[in-house]
Amino acid sequence: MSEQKIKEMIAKTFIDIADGIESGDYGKKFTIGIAADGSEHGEENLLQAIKLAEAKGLKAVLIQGEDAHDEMEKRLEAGEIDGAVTMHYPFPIGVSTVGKVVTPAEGKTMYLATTTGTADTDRVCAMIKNAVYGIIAAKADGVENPTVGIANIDGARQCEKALSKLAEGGYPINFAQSKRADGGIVMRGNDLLQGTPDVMVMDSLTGNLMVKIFSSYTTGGGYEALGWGYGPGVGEDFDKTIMIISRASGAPLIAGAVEYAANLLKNGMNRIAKEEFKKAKKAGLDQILKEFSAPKAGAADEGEVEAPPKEIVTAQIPGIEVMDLEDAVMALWREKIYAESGMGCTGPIVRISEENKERAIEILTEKQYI
Amino acid sequence: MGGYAVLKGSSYTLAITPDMVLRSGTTQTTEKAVNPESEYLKELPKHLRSYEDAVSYLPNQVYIGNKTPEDLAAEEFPWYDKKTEGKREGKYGEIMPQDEFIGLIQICDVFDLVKLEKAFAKETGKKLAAHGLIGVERAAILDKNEDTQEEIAKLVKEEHAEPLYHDGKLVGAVKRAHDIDVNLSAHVMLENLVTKASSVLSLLHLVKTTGIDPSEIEYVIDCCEEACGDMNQRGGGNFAKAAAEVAGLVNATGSDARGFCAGPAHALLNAASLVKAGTFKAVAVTAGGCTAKLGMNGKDHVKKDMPILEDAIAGFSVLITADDGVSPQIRTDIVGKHTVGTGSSPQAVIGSLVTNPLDEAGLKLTDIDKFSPEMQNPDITKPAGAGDVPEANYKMIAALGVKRGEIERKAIPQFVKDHGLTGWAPTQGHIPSGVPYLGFAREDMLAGKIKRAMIIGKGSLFLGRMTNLFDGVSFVIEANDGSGAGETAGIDEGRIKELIGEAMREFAGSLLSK
Repeated sequence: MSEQKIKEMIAKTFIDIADGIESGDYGKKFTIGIAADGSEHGEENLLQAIKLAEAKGLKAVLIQGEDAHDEMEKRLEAGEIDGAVTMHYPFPIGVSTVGKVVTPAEGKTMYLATTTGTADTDRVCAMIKNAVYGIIAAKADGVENPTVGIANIDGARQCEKALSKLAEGGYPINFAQSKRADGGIVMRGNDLLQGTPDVMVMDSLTGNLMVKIFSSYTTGGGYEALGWGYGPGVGEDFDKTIMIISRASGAPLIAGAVEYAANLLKNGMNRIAKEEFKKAKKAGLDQILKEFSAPKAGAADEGEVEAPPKEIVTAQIPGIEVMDLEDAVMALWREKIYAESGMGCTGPIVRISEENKERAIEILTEKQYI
Repeated sequence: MGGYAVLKGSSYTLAITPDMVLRSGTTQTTEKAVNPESEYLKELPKHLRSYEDAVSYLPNQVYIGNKTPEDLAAEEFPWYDKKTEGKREGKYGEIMPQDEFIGLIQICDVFDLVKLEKAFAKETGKKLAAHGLIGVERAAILDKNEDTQEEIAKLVKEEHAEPLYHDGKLVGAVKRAHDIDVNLSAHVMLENLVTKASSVLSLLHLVKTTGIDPSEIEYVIDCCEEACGDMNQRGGGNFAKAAAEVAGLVNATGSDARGFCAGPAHALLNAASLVKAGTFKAVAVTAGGCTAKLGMNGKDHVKKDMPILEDAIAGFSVLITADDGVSPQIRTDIVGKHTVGTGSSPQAVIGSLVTNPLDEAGLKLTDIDKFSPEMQNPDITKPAGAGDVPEANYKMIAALGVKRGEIERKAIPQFVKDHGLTGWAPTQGHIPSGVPYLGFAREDMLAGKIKRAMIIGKGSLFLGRMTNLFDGVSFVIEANDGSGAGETAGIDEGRIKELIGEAMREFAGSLLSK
């Protein structure tokens, strides 16, 4: 970094301070766009939401028009807004939203992972990813070491196994314990109301149901008055801050979504997400996902061949197509010749003992491997 | 981010040594011992190429940088039956004829072991004195040769000296350096002097292509496949310092790094790490070629009525320096390694070297523009039944990509084409191992044509009978992002705010205390 650059940074900081002294507000203000065309409660509701947000010291702007999503994306791209609050947003597969609700018992905050979108087309894999997404959103919202529980729904036990494995692999997960007498990291309905874990893992359909119940039970269901809404879209290659609300969302919840967005931006959710994904992958996330995905139909078992007794293999046969290498080894095993495959400096090779070399070449030639 | 070591430049050289194919290549020496009257030995001399033919051989022109891998891919296979417009001098090095190379061997001999026939020495000395990188001073040693052909023949016959032939004529000999010690026998001394001389030639070209002041190079790592030492320390070393001495790198020390074909990749990682750590600012990695592998696949080439294509002693050198803000960065944080527990199957090997490091860095296979594994010339390996080595590697990488869902099965050929290279390197083990591409990779990155390349070195350790394991390391080089420029990198906005905050609090404190 040049001296000029440092000077510029110092100058910018002094300007920020001066602005702060004059306005009485010292933090960077993030601008959140609200693109909520089609709200059941009309434009007045949105304007009220903006007022409520301003009262909390936040800055929100209304994005109107038929192509509100296009306009919103354009403004995000141009940096005119830092985040957005919207509805019916088409997230790509792999992205799902982490909702935030206030639970009735003791008014505790809880993250619902997840509430819309599809983290994965496989149910259990989606729940495993949702757990990571939940941790990311909670951390980015300022919860230092969020506790994680799994809602007692179809797939909960497999998800529990997978997350334990991920934790054993080195991805730190702070598991919550159910407040019911028998405990465990699978959460019962009671735990939902009590907000036992910071992050409640579930599939996004269940989560969607939950966020609606939690935010509108006080109003009789038509107006979502409580909480922070359906939350930000989280996914591995997704780096925008886009919060979801619904047509039934009322002004207090929309203002909550603006607040949630500003918090995520302030704490750097993208950076946190990157770190978390890196850690999870290092702990074997991809392998675990593969392991826990439902088996695809039609995978036929091939006849296993038993390996002949191990020998010292110092002779090599090159020139076998790399994709056929393992088959070539099996072909030799079937003929009772001990062989190993290898990727040497000169490409793929089959290794056999010096005594078996000629015979192995004959077999492989006959079977058209070489 | 930032502060990575960078790829400052590289050089590639060849010496065309047809007479050494006959007398030093192990395929030929073994045949002579086992089957001295064989058809192969009778046929072989007819298959040796002239120097001019070797110069106009397209893969050789790619090696020294006059043609590109794209030119090679565009040329119809095989290549040995075609000629290209060839030049001795290339952007990265040169193709040296045998007589001058024999002269260079004497220049590299410090122990008076090389004797050259007087007339041959005089003629060759003139040529080397006129050579831009060798010059009068270094070539002067050739003028001291007084031996006649008879005297040299006597050394070979009676003193176990190793003969040096040129155009089928005895022109010199390498004497043994010890009466009993096999490690200092004439045979080994020739092998080692050839390695040293080819390494020196590459180092001289490295200084030329990079424009570095030779005195700025602080460390040299040699990664050839030979070993020098005596009976008490068979591989004691040190080729690196020996070559640095002749090449005039007066401020350098160095050491040898070995790992069969994976040696260069290990050496480059060492060099980049030494620079990144700040231990040295400029480190050269260098390797000469080996006589043993001359004509290695000769029997197949003769059987198929082809010229002997393995008639060149190759060498290469690479300069790694501190970040200059321009040259490609060596991402020592994106490194693959074949570990003791990895296993030997192609999937395990490629997984450990390619996909594991990329996963850790959050990159996809397709984020790497070019992969450079073993760059063996298929013109040499295909007729010998070993197939197209680079292609086999690319197919395996692509197959892993299919398994991971990053590449569609039917897109494998396209992936191989887009992310692969056609091999052009001589088959001297360590020479083709990832490094031949460094010259072009640097250029293409500077030109903005590619962003990232992965260099993959693999080795077959079981050849040494100490372990049955394979080996390999890999690393990513990336177009310079400018992150390392300047000295205050690392000071961020947060830190500045902290400093200002501190100062303001102190100021407030001083007001209150008055």
